[in-house]
Amino acid sequence: MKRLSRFIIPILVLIVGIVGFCFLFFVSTQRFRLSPEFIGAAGQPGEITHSSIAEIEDLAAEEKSFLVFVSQPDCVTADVFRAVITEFLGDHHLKILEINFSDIRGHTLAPGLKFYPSFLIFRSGELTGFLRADSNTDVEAYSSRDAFEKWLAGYVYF
Amino acid sequence: MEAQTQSHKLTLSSVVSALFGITLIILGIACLVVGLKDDSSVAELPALPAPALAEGLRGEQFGIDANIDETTIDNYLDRGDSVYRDMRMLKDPGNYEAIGGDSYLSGFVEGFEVVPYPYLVNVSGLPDAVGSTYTGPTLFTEKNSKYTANYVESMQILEDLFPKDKKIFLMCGGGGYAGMTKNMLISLGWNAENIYNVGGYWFYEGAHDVPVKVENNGKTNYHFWKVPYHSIDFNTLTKL
Repeated sequence: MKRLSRFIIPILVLIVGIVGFCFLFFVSTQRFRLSPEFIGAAGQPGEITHSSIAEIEDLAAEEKSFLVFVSQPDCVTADVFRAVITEFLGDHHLKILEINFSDIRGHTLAPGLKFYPSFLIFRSGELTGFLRADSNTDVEAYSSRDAFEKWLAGYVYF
Repeated sequence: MEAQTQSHKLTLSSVVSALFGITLIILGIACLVVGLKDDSSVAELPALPAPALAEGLRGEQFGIDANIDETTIDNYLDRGDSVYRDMRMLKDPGNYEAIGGDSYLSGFVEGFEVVPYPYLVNVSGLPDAVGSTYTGPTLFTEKNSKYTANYVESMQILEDLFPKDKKIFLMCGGGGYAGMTKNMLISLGWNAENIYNVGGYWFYEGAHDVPVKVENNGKTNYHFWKVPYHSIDFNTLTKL
């Protein structure tokens, strides 16, 4: 009996650990749907609507799930990426918010956001993912419609 | 008595000569010291790392430098062997109110002089929402990555603004215009090793920020008089 317990307890601990890890992994990577107001009419192209930090704060407070394109007027760096998003929206009737980098930089809603252009994914009011202009792994998502769709599909059902 | 006077005269002229000589020696030493000091200040300029591309979109698409960027440019300001250029317009004619935000230059990094990229060459590829950007005259026309001068003076103006014998540091709002300028200069014969795309003013958090947009009592003012600005008067140029 004593010898048996020497094996059973570590095995139980191991099983609980594995199950816990799997649960946390599943929860953290679970895809989700956007809040209904950010899904447009079927058959219609999606759209980018300019927003404000106050509106995004409100949406986060209401625990909405939504997408934000971070750009900046008077600058061409965001324009190539804007074209990629616009092409994507031709096939997906989503409503994407747009905000100036100068309005959101340093804000607690987007910790770690250092550069624009970027694309933020909010799930239930929390930032769950964003594109980094200084990361080699995100270059494709910035540059091609298909790669952008693939990246976004890792988080969102559409 | 006469001999005494003669002796006094001699002494006086000797003193004057000696003073003159000493003054010359002091001046000579001073010039030498200043000269040596100048030499040493040139020698003290820290060596610049060779241009290299940053990671991600910033390097791949906009050509922003890996070593000299918005976070490190403060270490390379005020160099005698370099020029500093900000490629934005004071006011972009694009309809940015349509997508929010303002289209005025809101600040720059101290030491940078503004040379609007849209005056150098035609800008293409902007989104429809912005409407047309500046469509006035330009020094060059770009087509299929080839640059053609529009005026007799185009190349001379470019060489004056971007001296080939200097290191050239470029900035703009986010790095795009600066990257385009770098590509243009290289295409027109500039040495790529001398040109650094430092990136965007919007990412700068250093100690040499010169704000132009100033909010006061809920009112916004633009202090454009602070901006060192290079104007190009196309009316005085000879069209090709």
